[in-house]
Amino acid sequence: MLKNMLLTIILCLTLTPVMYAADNPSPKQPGDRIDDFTLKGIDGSSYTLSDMKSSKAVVVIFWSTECPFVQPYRDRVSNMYNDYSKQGIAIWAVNANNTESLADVQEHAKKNDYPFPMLKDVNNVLADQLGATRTPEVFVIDPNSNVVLYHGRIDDSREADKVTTSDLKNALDDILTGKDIAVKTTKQFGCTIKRVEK
Amino acid sequence: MRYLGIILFLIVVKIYSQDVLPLSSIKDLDALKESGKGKVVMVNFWATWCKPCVSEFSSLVKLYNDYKDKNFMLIFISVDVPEDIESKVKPFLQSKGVDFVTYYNKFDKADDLINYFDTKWEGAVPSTYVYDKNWNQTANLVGSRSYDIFEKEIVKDLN
Repeated sequence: MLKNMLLTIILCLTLTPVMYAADNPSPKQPGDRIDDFTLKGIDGSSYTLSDMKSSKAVVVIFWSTECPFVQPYRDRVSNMYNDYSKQGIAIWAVNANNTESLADVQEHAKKNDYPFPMLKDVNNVLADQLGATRTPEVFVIDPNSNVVLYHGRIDDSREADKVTTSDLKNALDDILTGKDIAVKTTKQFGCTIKRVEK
Repeated sequence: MRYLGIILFLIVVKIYSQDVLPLSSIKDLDALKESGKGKVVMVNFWATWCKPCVSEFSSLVKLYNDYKDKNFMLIFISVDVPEDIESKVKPFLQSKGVDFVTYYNKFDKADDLINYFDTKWEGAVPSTYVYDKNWNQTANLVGSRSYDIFEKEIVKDLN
């Protein structure tokens, strides 16, 4: 009787986090280490984290062709790409939406003339690994240790003229000056990532 | 004259019950929580710019109408910007037949509102939380759902 009770308790404790993770993935937080990954860009090239060891940071931003919370960031992220890529920081936009085909993403990228690489996360593999749930959502990764340095939003307003804190920029500036990132985690509302049915 | 008075009164009541009230502090959320004690509460975060939020909205309004007399409370919290409440949120709510008070986000820091409901939630909408009569969270649904799934989640807590 006691053996059965103990077994039940152990099963509940081990299964519960798995069940939660399957429905609502827990995002990787600053300090967490992630696995190496490779995604195909919409330009046909491969993008691998472990190839980026000469970069000071790799910024992954989950993106969408449709989310009205993402579109207003086109100029801000394009400008950041133009500024920070010269300083050794890579910025990769990642589309993990099952509802947006490669062709949709290619057309959208062309129409918006994005200067930054756009990667397609087929079957949400990277989104699942990082625990990403919305667009836009940012993970800044150290490509030498594979540790997450910053997780959260680009800044605090959808509208460029209402921004009061540029959280991602602040984090990147801290990285470039060798400082510990002052604000490592932020949150913001955004659209859900449209995952495949598994 | 009397009839005019009655009509005016009814109009005022209707307008009042279609109010969209701001939530700007933890105190506001605590007051909301207090008002839900003893009921099964479903909190739905949505926005007019969010397609899946809009597509599941009618199911939620139907759920409210089907269960409002059974100790069920539905709290809609819009995360549209405050500037869009009059021009977008209120007309949308009216088009969906919402005749009860709903809320909108007026927090300075989105983190404070988000973390009050779930520290693991990153702010993706739609997101729906279900609480039993003692405000224990019994469901946490990120992404849109059907009427049947919403119903299942509240029926399990209504005894």
